Amino acid sequence: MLFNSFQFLIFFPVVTILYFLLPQKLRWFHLLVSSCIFYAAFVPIYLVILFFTIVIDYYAGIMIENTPGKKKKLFLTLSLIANVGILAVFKYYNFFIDNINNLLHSVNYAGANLPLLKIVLPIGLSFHTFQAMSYTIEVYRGKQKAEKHFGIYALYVMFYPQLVAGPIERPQNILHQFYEKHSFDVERITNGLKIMLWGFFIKVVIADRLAIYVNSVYNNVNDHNGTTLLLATLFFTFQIYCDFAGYSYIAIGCAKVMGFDLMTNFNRPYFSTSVDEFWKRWHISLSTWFKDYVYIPLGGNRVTIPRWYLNLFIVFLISGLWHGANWTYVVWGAINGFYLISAIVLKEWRNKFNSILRLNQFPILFKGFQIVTTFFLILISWIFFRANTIHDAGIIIKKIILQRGPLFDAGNPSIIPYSILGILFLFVVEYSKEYYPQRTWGFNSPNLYVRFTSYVITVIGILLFGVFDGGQFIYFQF
Amino acid sequence: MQVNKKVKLSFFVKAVIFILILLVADRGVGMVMSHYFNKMESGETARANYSFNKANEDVIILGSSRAAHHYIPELIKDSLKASCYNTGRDGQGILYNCAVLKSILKRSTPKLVILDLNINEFIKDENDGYDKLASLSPYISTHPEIQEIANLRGPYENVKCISSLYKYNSLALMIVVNNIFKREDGAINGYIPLNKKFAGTLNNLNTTQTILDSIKISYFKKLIEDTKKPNCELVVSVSPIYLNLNNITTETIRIATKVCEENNIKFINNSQQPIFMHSPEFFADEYHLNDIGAKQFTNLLLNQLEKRRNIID
Repeated sequence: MLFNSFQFLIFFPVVTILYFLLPQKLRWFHLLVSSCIFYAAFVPIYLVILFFTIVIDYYAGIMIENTPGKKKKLFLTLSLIANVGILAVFKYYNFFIDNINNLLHSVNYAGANLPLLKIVLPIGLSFHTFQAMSYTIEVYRGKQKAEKHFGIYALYVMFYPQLVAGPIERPQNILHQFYEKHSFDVERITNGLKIMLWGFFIKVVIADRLAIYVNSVYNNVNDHNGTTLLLATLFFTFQIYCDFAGYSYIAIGCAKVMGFDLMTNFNRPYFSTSVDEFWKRWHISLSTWFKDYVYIPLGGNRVTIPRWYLNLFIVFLISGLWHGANWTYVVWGAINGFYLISAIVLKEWRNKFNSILRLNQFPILFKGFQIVTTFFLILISWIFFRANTIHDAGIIIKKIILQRGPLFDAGNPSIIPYSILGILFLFVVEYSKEYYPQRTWGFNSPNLYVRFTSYVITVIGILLFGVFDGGQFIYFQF
Repeated sequence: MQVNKKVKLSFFVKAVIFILILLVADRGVGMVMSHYFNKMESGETARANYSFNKANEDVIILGSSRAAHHYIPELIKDSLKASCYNTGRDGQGILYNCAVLKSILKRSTPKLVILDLNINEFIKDENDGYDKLASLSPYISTHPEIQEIANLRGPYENVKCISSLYKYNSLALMIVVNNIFKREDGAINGYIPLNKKFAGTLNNLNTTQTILDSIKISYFKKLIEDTKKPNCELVVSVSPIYLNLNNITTETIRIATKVCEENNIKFINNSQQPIFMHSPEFFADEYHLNDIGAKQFTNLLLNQLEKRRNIID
């Protein structure tokens, strides 16, 4: 079930009202059943795969805790193999077979045609797999006690607000919350609803509007000039942010209404002054997951310098591959890894350059320059993220550099103005939150009439300017 | 506990007030949108408003942009001595045309309806679904007869249309701009002349395997049924296209021919008419005739309908 669907408009209030009406001891069961209904609305058979991983990890957690010595590692390994195995089969099998077939064809190996699997990727597989792995790893490390209650563990994996696109939670943060009694707290519920409203706004009004233009251009790159491709890339930069952050806000708000606190997943990433900072503000739950479970176990930065760079590069390559079974994502990850390594390598030179130009005497200008530079570096990497193939990405970059022309209007002259207005509105709101967090306006105004007016205007904005074809969230495909 | 109860009560009261304000705002802003939407005097929307709300001419042209650019009402009027309006609309197909016809039939019975079909009219649109039916939303409240077609857009569409604002979704900017800047596009009774001349070569039609849309076919049949009224004739026409079909009969043409035969409806296929296939100067692009081509075609069609001239008498 999509958050931006009519079904969810019915589902959410019904589930929430029932949640508060039920006694505490039944609430976990109610949420688990609701989460099953939520997930089954996509494709019911997906529940079987989810159930399989839940059973394995539930028992793995208990066995890890109860097994002394080195045998613990065996159960952790089994759990990780099961999770990664499922991911490998459903998400990457056809990708690898395709590449092997292409390789064999390129060397004229006759009869090279390994069969592909006709399977559909379960929605959100990458997310709940990572969340499940986080659990068994933390139990192994002794930082989390194994969950004995099967239903509560199942709810940890399946909790519907964050089931299909995160935030990827840690067991220490969320498991205990399923045991806590959450009262009907007006302030908390209001805050949760406000967060959801903002999430819906940026998803259906901004992200889905931008998607119309981006899709029509990026799916036909040969038909468009560099100017159009540059605009589409700029639009995609905001589309992916509003789509994913919008989903996260809805998830966080939805959970908050019921009394659950999920981790922050986005922190206004396009105000970052470096790529390193960007990755501390973008998809925080995933980047911290990779840091804690891949980067640090590889040695992090407590190794030789070449090994440090290699660790960074490996993490970003894997992150790219996590996003999708396509070389474009791998290249995207590699580009970001390259940015980070370059920033470290060139740090001294950059400092010398800054001091020669005395940029520290113009802190606001300098910060603006850093933000804009970071933004464009990230924008370039998004070309590979969105392009259908590496070849398309190459065409796009070449045309952006070399080819100018009139802007394509996607058959509707209002698309570009709507899109630009949406981005400008987003910028104003985010700028205010970033640089004037103490200012209370709009949703957070102390004046009731101002708050109500803001809510009404936002809903009117969604009804008038939102795109309502139930457009799927980008990160669902991961 | 008392304080807690008071706080909860206050929350519910505020929630109810918020919903009421929202309902009032929805109706109020919706009324303003409706007023300015219907006030537009030129452009595609103004023509659509006329088609749905006022058109009652003797001859009605239905179709997509190909209809809008191919059939000249002035020539039809002069030849058949009957009023004529071209309701053709860019990007729209058989479902939209059915809705237009239903709204016209509620207030009058045209003597002749010419339906222009695209050569792949009945193919399922995998990219768009029925989202183009969003253009029907502003007319639903005054034309309940088209609700059934509008509901094809998606589940709960009839519930969503309870909101006045939802009906004007994505139209706000266009309403503002068109009311401030009254731009003429040269349309005359719905016909929009194109002045470009196509400079390309004759290509083959892309005939990749496609899936038929049974809903579109069913509404084509319903449209035929709707025109089965006394003194109302339907002609199904396929206008010229500057693409070589290589003697292939598309599924749409095959089905349309069969259905028209079964219902004794005149079906005229000019898609590969030689005079047009050898004359790129009649075309603005591969799919649309320019003004010169439209004149040629309209006169050709009128000759083909010559036997029908007496229907207008």
